[in-house]
Amino acid sequence: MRVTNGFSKTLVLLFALILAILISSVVTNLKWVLVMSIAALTYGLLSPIVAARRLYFLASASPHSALLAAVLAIPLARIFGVANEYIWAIILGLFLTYIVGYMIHRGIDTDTATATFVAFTASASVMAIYYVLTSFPLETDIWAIIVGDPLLADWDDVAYASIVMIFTALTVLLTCREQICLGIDKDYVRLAGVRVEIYDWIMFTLLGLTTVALIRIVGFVLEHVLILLPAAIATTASKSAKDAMYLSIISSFTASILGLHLAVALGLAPAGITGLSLLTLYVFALLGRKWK
Amino acid sequence: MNFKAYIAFTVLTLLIVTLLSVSMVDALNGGLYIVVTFPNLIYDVKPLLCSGDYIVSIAPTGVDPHEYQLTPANVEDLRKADIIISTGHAPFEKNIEEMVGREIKGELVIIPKIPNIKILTNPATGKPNYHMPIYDPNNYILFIKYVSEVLAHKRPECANHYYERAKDVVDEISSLINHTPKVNIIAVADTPTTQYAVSWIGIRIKYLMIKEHGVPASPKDIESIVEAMKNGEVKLAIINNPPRAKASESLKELAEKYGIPILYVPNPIGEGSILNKLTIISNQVGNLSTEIFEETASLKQSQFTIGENIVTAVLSLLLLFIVGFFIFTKARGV
Repeated sequence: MRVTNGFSKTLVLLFALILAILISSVVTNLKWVLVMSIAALTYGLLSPIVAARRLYFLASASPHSALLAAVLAIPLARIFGVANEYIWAIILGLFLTYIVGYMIHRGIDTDTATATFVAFTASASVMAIYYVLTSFPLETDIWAIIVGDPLLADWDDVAYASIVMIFTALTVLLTCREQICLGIDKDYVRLAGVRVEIYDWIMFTLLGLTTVALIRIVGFVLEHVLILLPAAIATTASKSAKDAMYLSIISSFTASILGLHLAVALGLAPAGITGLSLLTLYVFALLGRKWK
Repeated sequence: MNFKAYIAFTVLTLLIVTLLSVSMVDALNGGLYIVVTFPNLIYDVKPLLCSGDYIVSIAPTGVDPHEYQLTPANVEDLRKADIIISTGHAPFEKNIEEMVGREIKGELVIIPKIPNIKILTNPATGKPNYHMPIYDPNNYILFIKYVSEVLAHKRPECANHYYERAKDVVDEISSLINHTPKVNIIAVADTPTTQYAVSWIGIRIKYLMIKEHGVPASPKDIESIVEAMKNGEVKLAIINNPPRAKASESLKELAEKYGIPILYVPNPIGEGSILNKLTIISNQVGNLSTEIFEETASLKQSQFTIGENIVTAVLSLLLLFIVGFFIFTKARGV
């Protein structure tokens, strides 16, 4: 009965999301709606796992490595002429995230490893940005990576982001149970015979991939908000892990789509309005928690 | 004298002789040291120069000067400069302005401040557009004349040469202005850098994909562009060439979708003189004029009214509050 209830809840959620996408695309532009929805769903799915694994600090540091990877990918793609900037960015981003993963695996405290990682990537990003801006062609727009330009995404970007979203969704759905258990008691899970390292590796891969792959669409600034706030809302207002997942997706999706519509109506950048919409929802969650 | 002291003495003597000879060559040369802030300005100023004059750019070719920061080598060039030519709008150019009179002794020519230069208003921001005003041929004539006068003042023995070269360029530009067909149409452009390149032909840029350098596109702007293309208000799309930026690609896609002719404008900060770039534009206008000349067609009323925007905003906020209330009740139950 409980399984059927959960299944029907998922179906209702899926139906509502598709309906919202269809209505929104009639009112505005299908490409914009898809780009914003894909980003929202990707981070909406990932955010609760970040919360469960208590990796808030690392998650907020990931956009720094994504920024460095996206900027360094520009010269690398031109110098080597092999693979495009997206591929180079993913390779570099994953490599950087795995470095932190390895440091944590070697027993360094997660926060210390992340702090070292942020110090390195932030400094290296400044140098990389300066190098690219002073040595590479005019069409390289670093500001687009920092503030995000979802409205100028083309259909190739939509397809690329969709693949990232599908990969994230499948990985999260197949491993979320283990990830949540790892967040609760890692030693117990290890004693139960689960290969914890594999799940750690999956977690780092997801963080690295989603931040690097979507940074050009969402932007460095909004990535922080989209990774952290949906889980913060979900953990404040839900009783179970499954509820948290639903709530995270709903809040992330609602903020992105309504952010887009508000941006259309008010003539503002959608990335900023989306962040403010998520913050509004978080305030509602906090108020509900306070006045129960 | 021991061996080490002998070596040190020889090295020191060689250094002094080298430095003296370099400064003597400079002094004997007598040419002007001209520093331009944007690399494309070299192509415009170099044809005017006299033998022995030397010209160098602060921002290297190919980089975006808007994000450029001065290096120690640049500051050294600026100290040596007799004349500095600046577009006066990039952050590093503002730094140069502050350095004039202190570290920099050369004469600073700021293009927007040249007498009678026409500065257009950015149609999207309502603020002055300082992106390469000399892309307008009339401003270009003023610029060439002004620079030739500054050069002549700094090196009087070459004055005739500077004036003659300037006259040649001005004649070519004047002929280009006369031979280019003029239109009276509204256009959409990818960035504000194209405005000066086409306004002299009678092409009025009313819509921009990117309002200003580094500003992300807003959905309202893009929807207005689509609407203007649909209802026939916009007759031409102006796109930076090569169209590699996202804004350029998006505008090209929209123009092709709605059958709007495209005018490709060579990047103002790309290689080549303004004269060459204007010639490319002029040739394209000649070919396009049959397509874009006639209609000032009856324009339909824009569907995007203030009322619709208010309804969209109110509905979006209402939905946001409904979801917020749902989260509020869920949080109360925890």
